[in-house]
Amino acid sequence: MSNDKLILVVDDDPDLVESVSMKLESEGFQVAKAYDGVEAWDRIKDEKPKMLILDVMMPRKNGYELCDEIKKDDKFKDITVLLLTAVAEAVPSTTYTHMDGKTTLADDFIPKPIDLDNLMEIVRDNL
Amino acid sequence: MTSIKGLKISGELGLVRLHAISRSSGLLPAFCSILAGSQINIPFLSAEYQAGSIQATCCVDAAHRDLLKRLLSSEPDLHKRTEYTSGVGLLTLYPHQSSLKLFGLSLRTLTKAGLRVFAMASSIGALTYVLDYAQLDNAAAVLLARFELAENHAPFKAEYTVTQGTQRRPGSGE
Repeated sequence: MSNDKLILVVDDDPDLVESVSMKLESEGFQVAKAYDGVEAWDRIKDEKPKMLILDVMMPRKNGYELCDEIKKDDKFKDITVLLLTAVAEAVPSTTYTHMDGKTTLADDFIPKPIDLDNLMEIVRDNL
Repeated sequence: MTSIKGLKISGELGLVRLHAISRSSGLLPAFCSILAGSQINIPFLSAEYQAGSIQATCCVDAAHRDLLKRLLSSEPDLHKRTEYTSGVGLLTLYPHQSSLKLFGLSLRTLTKAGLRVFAMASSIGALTYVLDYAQLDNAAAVLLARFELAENHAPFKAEYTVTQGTQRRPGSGE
């Protein structure tokens, strides 16, 4: 069972993690943080967040790989995954799409650079 | 022991200092525009304001040294105020979260080890030092003897480099 108030923010840029976390906390959400895909996977198994805000380009395990692992795992497939990507404008579908030869089952995309108000809208739309 | 979540070490960079720029001259934005116009990333930038003037410090990839020098040579006002130092790198500790303790302990640890600090800056999530590139591994070692690093930490050195490019997005029609 997931923690319904917990959002896990995952990015290898500590400034992005911090600024997104502060915004989410100011809006009343609980936030956990991870700085790469491997650490994120550990946090998911330990804390079972309701939602992931997940960067695409990260060391050790990138966002596409992590998203696929989550969505193919019966225990975690209900976690909402929002992918942070600089190419969101080019994504024609938010449920199943194709980028750079990769497929992803992410629930939605957040365009970079991040507009924090837009991010909150996307978060609320997906809860 | 103070805990940190991660530590990052950059590749080799060059340090650029801009001296005594008048706040009203527009030279700092012009400098940044010149770099952006040539797709030169600025992984570190800090500016110090004193009595109406600015001293700015930034880092660029070492591979961009000759291009930067060429660009600045055609801007005499900027060129005469610019000093370039080769062979530096960034060491970043995170998260920072405005921790004066982390700043004080890390700076003391680096200076006690005889490591020269060219510049430093704190941001919302990180504390970054500009150090001698040849001493980055040594600096990481002395800091890791002082701070407890999270067990499942990310690699210290980047597995990839993000650069600016002119490639268009698919379907943009340009």
